[in-house]
Amino acid sequence: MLSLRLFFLMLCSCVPAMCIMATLSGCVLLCCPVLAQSGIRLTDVSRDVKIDFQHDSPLTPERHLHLFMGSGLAWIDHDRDDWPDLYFCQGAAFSAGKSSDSQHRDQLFRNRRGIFQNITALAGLRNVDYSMGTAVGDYDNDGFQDLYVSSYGPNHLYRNNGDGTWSEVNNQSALNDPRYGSSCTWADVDGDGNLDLYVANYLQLPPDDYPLCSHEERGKRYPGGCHPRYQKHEYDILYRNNGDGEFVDISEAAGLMSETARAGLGILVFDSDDDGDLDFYVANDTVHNQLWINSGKGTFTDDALLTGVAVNGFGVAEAGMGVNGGDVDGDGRIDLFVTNYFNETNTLYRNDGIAFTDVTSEFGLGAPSKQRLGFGTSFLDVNNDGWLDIFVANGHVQSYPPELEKHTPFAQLPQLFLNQNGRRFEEVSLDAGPYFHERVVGRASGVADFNRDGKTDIAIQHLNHAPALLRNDSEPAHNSVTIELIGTQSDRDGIGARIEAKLGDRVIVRVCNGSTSYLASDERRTVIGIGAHESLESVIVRWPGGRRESWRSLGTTGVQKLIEGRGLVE
Amino acid sequence: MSNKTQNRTKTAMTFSRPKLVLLMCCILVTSAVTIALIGRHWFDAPDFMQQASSALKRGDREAAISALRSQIQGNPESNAAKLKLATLLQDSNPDEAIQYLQQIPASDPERENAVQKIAVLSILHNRTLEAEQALLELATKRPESLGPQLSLAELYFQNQKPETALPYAEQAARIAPDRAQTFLLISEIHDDMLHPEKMIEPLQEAIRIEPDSYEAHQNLAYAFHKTGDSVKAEEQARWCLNVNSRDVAALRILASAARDNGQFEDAEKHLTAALKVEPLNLDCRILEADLLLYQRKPQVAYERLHELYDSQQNTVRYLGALARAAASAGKREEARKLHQRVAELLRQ
Repeated sequence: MLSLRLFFLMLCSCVPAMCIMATLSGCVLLCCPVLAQSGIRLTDVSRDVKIDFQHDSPLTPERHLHLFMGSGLAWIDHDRDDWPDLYFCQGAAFSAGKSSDSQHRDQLFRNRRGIFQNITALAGLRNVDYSMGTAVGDYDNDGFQDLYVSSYGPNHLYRNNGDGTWSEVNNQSALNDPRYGSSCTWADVDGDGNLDLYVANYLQLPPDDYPLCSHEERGKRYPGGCHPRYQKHEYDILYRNNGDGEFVDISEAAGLMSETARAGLGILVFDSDDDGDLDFYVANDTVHNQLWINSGKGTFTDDALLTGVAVNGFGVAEAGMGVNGGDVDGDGRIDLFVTNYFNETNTLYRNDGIAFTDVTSEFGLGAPSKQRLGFGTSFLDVNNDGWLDIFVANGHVQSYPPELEKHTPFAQLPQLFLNQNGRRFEEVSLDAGPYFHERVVGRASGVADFNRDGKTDIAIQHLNHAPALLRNDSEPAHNSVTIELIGTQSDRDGIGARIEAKLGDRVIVRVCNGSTSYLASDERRTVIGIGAHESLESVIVRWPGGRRESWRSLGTTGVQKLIEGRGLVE
Repeated sequence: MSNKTQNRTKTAMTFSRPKLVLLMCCILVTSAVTIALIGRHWFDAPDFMQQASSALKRGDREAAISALRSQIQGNPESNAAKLKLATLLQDSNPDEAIQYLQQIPASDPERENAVQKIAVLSILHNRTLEAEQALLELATKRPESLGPQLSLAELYFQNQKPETALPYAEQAARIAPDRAQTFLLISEIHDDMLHPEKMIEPLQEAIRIEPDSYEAHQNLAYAFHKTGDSVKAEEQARWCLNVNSRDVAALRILASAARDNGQFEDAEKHLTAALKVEPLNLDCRILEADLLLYQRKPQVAYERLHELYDSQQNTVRYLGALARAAASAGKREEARKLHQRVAELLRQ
């Protein structure tokens, strides 16, 4: 046995492939300390898979705020080949607008079995505004996912023509709203089977009357972004999709203007009160977050304060950036996670049914986030053990000379938190690969299984930098089942549908999310980790509107397409 | 963009401002007396000045004041008389004393002495503007003098201008690098500026200078806790508890650190110890409620918090915590009213 140990010890300086050999032989503890600790490995393969995008947001000497907010991304199966394609939003220089250089447009990369090809020009996408958030959804139920892009400037709706090309929908002036849009999402709020659209808006920063600020430190004045709390905020917008190609702004009638405007940055659609219709949670910058509860009759009431998600556990409104939702503790309810500012914690709100409880510290997420400024946050089961883990993209919004950045760095380390069976999270960032050792100015993040290996990968946008695509190389490779929902009465994407997967004595609950994180859209398919199990025993889907159907005998691992109306009615 | 959290451990921030003010006053008064003793022109108008001097010798303060007023009336340029009169009036009528001192022109050799007196009187009598002007004048004339720099830092800090206070405090630290109290002040300024991460270095410097500084260790525990370094926060809190086992702030930090680390039994143990010392400590009660809510015991959390209602009904942080517990316990209407009360208090 001694000689065998020596052999594996020799592999300590080995290549990853040899580490995997060691893992398979069960001797990982002897060989690779990184894998031995968590087994989590996320490798940036963006260059290898030919993603040559470069975000561009030239910072001005005056430090115009929007130039620091970054741009989004979207996983979208543009050609329905079952491989998720990747759309990157692009920034733009202030005042000059975007150049006509193709590199300064939003870019669409087609995924050809794990290798990407830039098809922006072929697809006919020509977005030259400062793009922010993305919402992916089949608004016309034609089977092809469409795309809405919010901007600092007019927003844009792109219709997928289904033949590899796209058309901007120009006959809907309301959709080209010029206000400063941030995250946005599709969701069928009235149960008519058509996707409506929620756009979170941020601040009033008109180019010709742009608020500029500075602060004094050590006898010098430094320009920097103005404090959002003291800027003019924008109301969010809700558009009703009439199903005939027409969108109507129903924000006021729906109640979104029943309280003061807020500086919205993150949006999540989910059924907060479990009544079958879809609600919205909006992460606002420096002011109370909002939880818009759907009455089911087309009107909404903000219940954030009374349900405990307007402020953190100290009663303080934080600077909400990104948001995500999922059942992190296995109780079947959707919990919320909001990324916040430097010297604040990112905040985990546990859904207790009647209200939410800030359990950030108890779940081990408080201390590690205090010295970070979180933006994008993605929920993924990185090790396919059936528990949702959390990725956070970090980076400050103030860029100062080095002498001032000592304590509040602009570029920051990203983080990965591993779920410990629903009880707590453990940060495993430094064991998760070289990407987590490099300071970046992280912004949007979105997840997809881009190489169809049954493991969820992450794409991250960086401010003024190339993006990262983190391939999930974690070992051991637990099994997973991928669920794709196809709505027939509901919207085709099943956005907001709840998936209850039975696995032994557990019921794993997942939501078919609309947009999540910060300015991002995940792949619509849901990867459910099942550990060493071979398959799920059954799946119950609650479609938007409340209809429940179940499927049994789903077969072994792989992709399961669940079509509404073909399951057993529950 | 960041918000100041409401539960700052201000009990841990016990920097001695009265002592500092007293010290500054002593420095300035001593300087004034010294200058007066070596001054040349106490009596430039022998008539009334002589009378004033005689009156003082026999203890007749009122007569001395009267004589000096007459002297000034007859000779409005008599700066020595103004200085003397201001000294006599400084306790009974500080406003008038300051007015006389302000009349001494920049060209007069006694000007600096007068400005020092203005600074002292203004600080003692909360005349912020006058104090600021006087101290700025002194700081400009003597940039390497500790007193004016430190006093300005203190003045701005006390008047909620931490950004303005900071460079003066840092200059004071450069002038007297072995004065631990200055580094404590710098750390407090950073705390007020919502930069707990910047508190750490000055506090470590204060401890280097005075290894047994309780305040420095206590504040360092607070700073580490605020910046998420539970291990170091715990280390500093334990140092404090070795000196004073009844330090509630340190016990609470230990409880919070244990909670951060998922050691809930330890958290409860430290919290129990803290509440034994101070059963009504608000920070501890709120932390206790947080732990109860985590344990899905909202009714108990609500009841425990409600015990403080009479004494804390106007405290925003308390009402917010009670509202959250009430909502979790299903008392939505009460929660709504409590939130309304919070909003009212914040408006006020």
